[in-house]
Amino acid sequence: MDENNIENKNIENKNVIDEDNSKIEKNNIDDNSIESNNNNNDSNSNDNNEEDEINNNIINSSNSIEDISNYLLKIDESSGRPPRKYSEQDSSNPEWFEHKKHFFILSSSGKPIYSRYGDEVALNTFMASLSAMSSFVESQNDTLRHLVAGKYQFVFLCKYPLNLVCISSTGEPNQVIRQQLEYIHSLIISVLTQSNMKAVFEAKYDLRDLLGGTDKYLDHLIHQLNKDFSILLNSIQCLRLNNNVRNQITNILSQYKCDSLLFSLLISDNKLISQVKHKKTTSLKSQDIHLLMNYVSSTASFKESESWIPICLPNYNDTYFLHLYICFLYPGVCLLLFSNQPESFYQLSDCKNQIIKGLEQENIAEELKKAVNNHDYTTSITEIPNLLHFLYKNKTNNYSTFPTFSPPYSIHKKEKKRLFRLYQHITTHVNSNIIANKPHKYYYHTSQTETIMVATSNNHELYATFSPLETKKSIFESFSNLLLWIKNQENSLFIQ
Amino acid sequence: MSISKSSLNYWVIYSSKLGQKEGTEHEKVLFFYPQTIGIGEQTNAVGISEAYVLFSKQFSPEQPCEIIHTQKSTLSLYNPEEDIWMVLSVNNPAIGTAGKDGKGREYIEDEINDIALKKCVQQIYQVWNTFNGGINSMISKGSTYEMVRKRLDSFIKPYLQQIQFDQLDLFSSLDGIKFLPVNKNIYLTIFNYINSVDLNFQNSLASFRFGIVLYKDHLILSSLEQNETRTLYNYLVNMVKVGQDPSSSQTMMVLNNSNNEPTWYTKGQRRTGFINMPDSNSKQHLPLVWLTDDKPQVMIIYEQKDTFLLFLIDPSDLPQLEFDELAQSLVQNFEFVNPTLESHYNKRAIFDEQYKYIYFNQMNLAIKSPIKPRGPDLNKETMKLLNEIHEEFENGSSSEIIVKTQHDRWIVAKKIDFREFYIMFDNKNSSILEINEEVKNATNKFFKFLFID
Amino acid sequence: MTKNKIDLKVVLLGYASVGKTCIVYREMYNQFGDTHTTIGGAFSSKRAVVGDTEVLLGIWDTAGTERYQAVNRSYYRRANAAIVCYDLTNSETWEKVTFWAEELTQNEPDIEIYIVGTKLDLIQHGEQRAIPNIRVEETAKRYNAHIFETSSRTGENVSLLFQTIAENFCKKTNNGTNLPNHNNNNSIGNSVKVDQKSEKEKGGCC
Repeated sequence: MDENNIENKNIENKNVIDEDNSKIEKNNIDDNSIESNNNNNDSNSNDNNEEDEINNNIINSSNSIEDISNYLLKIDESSGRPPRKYSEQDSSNPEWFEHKKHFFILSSSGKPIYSRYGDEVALNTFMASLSAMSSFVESQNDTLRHLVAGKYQFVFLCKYPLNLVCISSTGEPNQVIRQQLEYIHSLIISVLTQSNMKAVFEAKYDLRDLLGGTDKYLDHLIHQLNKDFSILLNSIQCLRLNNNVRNQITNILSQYKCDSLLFSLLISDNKLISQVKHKKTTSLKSQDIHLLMNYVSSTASFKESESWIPICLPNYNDTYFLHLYICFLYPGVCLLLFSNQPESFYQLSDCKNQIIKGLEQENIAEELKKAVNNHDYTTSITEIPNLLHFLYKNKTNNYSTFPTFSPPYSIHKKEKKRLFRLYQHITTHVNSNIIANKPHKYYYHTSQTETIMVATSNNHELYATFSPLETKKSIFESFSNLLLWIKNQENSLFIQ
Repeated sequence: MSISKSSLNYWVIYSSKLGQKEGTEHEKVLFFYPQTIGIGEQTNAVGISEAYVLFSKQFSPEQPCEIIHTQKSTLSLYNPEEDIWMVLSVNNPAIGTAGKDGKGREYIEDEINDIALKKCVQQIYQVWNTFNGGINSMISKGSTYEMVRKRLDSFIKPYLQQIQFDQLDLFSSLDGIKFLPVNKNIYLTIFNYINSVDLNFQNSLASFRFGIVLYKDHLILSSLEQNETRTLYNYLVNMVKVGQDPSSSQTMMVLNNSNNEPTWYTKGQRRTGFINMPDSNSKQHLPLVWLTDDKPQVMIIYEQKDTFLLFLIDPSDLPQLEFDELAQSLVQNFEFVNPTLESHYNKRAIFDEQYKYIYFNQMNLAIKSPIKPRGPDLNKETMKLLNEIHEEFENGSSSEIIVKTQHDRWIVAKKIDFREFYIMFDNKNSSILEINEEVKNATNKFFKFLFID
Repeated sequence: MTKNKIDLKVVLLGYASVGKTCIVYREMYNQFGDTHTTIGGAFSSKRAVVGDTEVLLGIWDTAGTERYQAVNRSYYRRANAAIVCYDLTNSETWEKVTFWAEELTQNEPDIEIYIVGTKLDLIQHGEQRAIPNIRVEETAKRYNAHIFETSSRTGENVSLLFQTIAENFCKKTNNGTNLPNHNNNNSIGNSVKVDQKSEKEKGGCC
């Protein structure tokens, strides 16, 4: 959102740089690649291929190391950050239309706020046409939901004073895309609060000015939305941890508090270790927790120092800010303390110190660190031979668990994406019951590539994937065994 | 709790070629229904539709916007001819009544199935095109747009008014043909009779030819192309309602009025003879049909008890056709065959009583099902589920789907090659394996039955 | 010898992307790296020694983006020193200096203000100064502020800045303890201990 003032001050290199300018601008020193593992950088395969190709071009076509370093110099001179990928594109580039999944945020009056690809200011006219379409429908006392054109879906989410749009040719069901737009909307609320947003909009100020620096969070969130199973299931993944250890941790979190402390959470990456509610108040919803995890994962600086940030939790209360104390206790273990007072930093910092002391006793910290490193598991742990993958949701607590990918999915990124797509479709079908408002009891789906069997009850949903060549009998047996295994492991899989 | 069903919101046909100058946009409208909507709003409807198309073309130039969902309605856009667009907007079903602030009603946004709605629009055009030819074709042959507007109004309105928008189910999406399975002998007999009639008349009238023969609402034989067969079958079964007792349902058929324009009439009483042709002077009222090529042909339908025979002939040859002669030869041959056809028709009921299923073969468009399209077995939930499963089959993502609903209904659907088979059970306590067994039994029996010796 | 222990709360304020976080990085880790827009406030602490006094520096790095302006009040409350940053090469960033100086003077009259021009290395490479020295001196005089120029990339004057802040604070609190005399007055020329490390460090971003 900050404009990239790339002015070349170094006259000698001016020509060379101008020439390479367009190519170089596409070479993104990806924010994410610095902060998270490369493994997590699974953007849409289309994007990745483009990126690799372009990167190769840069390396091949650059005249010298000097050019690259001059480019880096330019980065520094400007906003101090590398330009966003594709930020030079807009609706006058045919390539811009080729992206498989666009996200746009605009104000209800059509002013651009965010675009996943391309500079949102240059996309002014494009955003205006989006706005015109939904305004027309609004004027009829109706609300535009989505359009279908061939393999494209155009999904609209109108939440005054914002309009959010996704244009996708990924083949995802529109219900899933809508859920993703809801997350993005909630992210914006978490930065501004709904009340502020309305007030700013109605006073006719530019919302973009207030959203400086949020691009990173949006980009990272979108990335997660495209691959996170727990978000798909509207639930939270818990860190696999021995029940006793977890109880001890929960006790420590409960014990060390201060007057203004509302919630204490301990998370590891996108998994919840423990949470405590200190006052009589609404519990935290999955979406809010996911937004928090997104903030923490996207911000490297949280690892380096204690941070104190104002944040709005949209599902808790979208009208005011809470104040969040963030501190990493150990690598991969992050403490989040919520207060309703802006002055509580030092008290919470003290709590943190006491919590650390508490964890150091009786080896809890060691167990915790071990668990963080050992969380991932594969289907082989279940000892069910023909099981390829599964998703399980505990509906009482909205917790979920799932293994990491094994062959054949672990081999090709395309297969992972394909399976994820399939789960998106199946979760949509299973939950599409209009009347009873409850999911189907059983759902069985076979294709050339796999068979997925689903069973739901009042307290769980289980999706299990098998080879398409398995007989129904063996699948049914394996499915029952899987359910049993999960029930047996519940103590360590979920927070009780 | 009041529930309002899906209903027509509006229908418009417009030409994107007309009304290009500012201020003349209303000229784009060729037909709009309901006519209670003012011209300003009509123009708006056209405008937004053009906007959707233009916008979506940026991303999907080959396949621009075809479906639009809003909270309160579902729309389908169709571009059957160059510059001619058709838009169908259907109101979503809703629960409750709107409070003072306009809120309080809950709209069911996903009940109307995309494929079924698209099919509906296509069928409206199909019916128009069959009896009128293409709009652009009319214009190129000298009609003015005013004349086209008049025609659209008189022809499409009655058709539109009888569509039940809350019943866009799997049957409407599949748009299949019910075949009457007859044994080889009967088949050959009929085939020979028709052949001989054909040859007989073709001696003097080269363009005379046989089209299709139905027994009640089942097709026995057709010599037309698949799409032509389907179109005429659809017309006869769903509009003229040949399989049904004429007094119990509203029949609609097309005849040329005194201005030679195709118009909707009711069929009239059952009898043996040419439909709605009391004497040979009424020849000129026989409707023209446009099938695959752009040349219209006269459609002649002969009714004999429950058998319906359809013939086609060039308008130029029509005056020479001896209807009495034709009638005589048909009576002779078909009187004999009728009872056998009746027994075949009744046989199929036996399997049908046991199972609730739908079978559809994409290759020959054959459909078989005991489930009444507007019956109790096809409740909203089932209808929606079947539509969804069909959609999965259509985009090739699955070959078998089994569902047990919250109401303990099992639906098993398979797609093998080009055949789709849906079967449902209401056995609450069966396990998935037991259901699987039942389906195996059913399909075995079914395919045995399908291929009658 | 018993050491005095005192807490010193320092807050960094200023326009977005002038380099506040980089200064903290340099001071804390002696590194220069790629940073991103700060959200909220980040707290780091470091011990410094001034004579026989142990100073616990609590450094608040704040967000420069506009929406945090109101919130930043809670970070500078009861702060002992404020480092108000501007980018030596970007005149737009200077406007905020007056804003913060004004606000601090009104709300925290006891706070010690340090006006720090960042990205000194760019000036040394030939870039134009965006704000004339006179302006800076004038403003500093008006608000009784100290002046510094730093480069987080080369490290120039960063540790000196914090050293000076600590020493000044000790002087203030200890009131009379003998301290080595570091120049800390308002003129630019001799207040800064020029670091001879002026090699180009190209490719500073990781």
